[in-house]
Amino acid sequence: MMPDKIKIFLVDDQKIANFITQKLLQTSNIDCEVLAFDQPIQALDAVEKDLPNFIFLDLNMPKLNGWQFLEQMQKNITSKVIILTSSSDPADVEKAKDFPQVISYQTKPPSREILQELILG
Amino acid sequence: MTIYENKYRITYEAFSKFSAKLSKANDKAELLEIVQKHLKYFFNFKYFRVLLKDEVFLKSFHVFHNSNNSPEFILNEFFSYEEDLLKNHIPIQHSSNGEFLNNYDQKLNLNNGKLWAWYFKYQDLQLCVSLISDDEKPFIVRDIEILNLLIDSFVTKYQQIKLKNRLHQKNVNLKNAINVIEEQKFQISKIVYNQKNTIEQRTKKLKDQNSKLAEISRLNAHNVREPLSRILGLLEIAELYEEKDLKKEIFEKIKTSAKDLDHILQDIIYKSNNAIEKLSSKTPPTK
Repeated sequence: MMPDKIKIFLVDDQKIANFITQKLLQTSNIDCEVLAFDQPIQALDAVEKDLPNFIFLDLNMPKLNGWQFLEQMQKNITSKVIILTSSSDPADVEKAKDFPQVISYQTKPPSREILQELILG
Repeated sequence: MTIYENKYRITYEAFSKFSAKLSKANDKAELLEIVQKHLKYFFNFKYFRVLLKDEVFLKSFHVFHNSNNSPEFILNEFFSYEEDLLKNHIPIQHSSNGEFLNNYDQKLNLNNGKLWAWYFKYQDLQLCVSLISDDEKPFIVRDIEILNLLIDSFVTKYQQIKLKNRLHQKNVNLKNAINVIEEQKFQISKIVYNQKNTIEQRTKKLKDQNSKLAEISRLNAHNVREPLSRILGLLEIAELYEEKDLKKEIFEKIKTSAKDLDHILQDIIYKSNNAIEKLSSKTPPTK
């Protein structure tokens, strides 16, 4: 039986950032389906419906930032979240530990090796 | 017992009473009053007078035998025989009608009057002690002994009161000085307190400014890193593209990201310049 394709969401208001992550994932020998969102609110709705395996989440976004996103999805979603941000602020790294669904904190740009390791284990 | 021996026994008793009173005198007025009251028990006189000269003052007091007025010190009044006495120190004893006292109301009614005067010196104090006696109130040479005792006691007490007064004045001055010091101490502590407050306020202001600046620099670093991380990511994936696709897929995005980075840097430079101008305008202009 073929396992379901790994479903991955990219949430970043910067389209180019999503483009890069998507390209890296597609060329990492990971069999996955990638959906990119530059509107975090839309992503939040889609998460409830599609229940992705992984979410790559930026922190610094207008309207709904990464922390607010985490707070709103916390209740019943089992998706694993990887924070992918250009900030390497230690306070943010600490804060990320408050959210059990966050499995990693990565600064941009992500390396292909780390992506493989995170998703394939 | 001769009449003289009897007289002297009585005189010395009078003197011991006088000494007892004298020891209780608190000021110069009391001292003069005690002298006046006891004088007549020591020897006969119609008029008695003491002139004192110290480094500053020339003052005198006198006692009329027939007056109960309290004696007082009079400044800068002296008679010609006293002037001579201060110069040559030679005791005086000659007949006198007391005419130099004509300015005073008291009449002496002298009967064969005689002026006696002696010079005394105690450290920085010189005295001319003089008296007028007559046949009715005869002063005799043997009375000089008790007169010496009287003057000794008087001067001792006089100096003691003078020292006491000086000490008191010094104490008053000292207390005033202490008050001034206390007042100044209070002023200083007020100044110190105010300065402490000012320093605390300024320190707080600086700390606030510092944390604001730290926050700004943190945000700046983050803002700069965002487009830079895109450029680095795009370069990373560039190798995956054929040369013909590179321009469309990658270069345009690098260009956009580089422009974003440039905008952010220009914004930071603009804001930094403003902040520097703001800070330097707060310092007073130098000429």
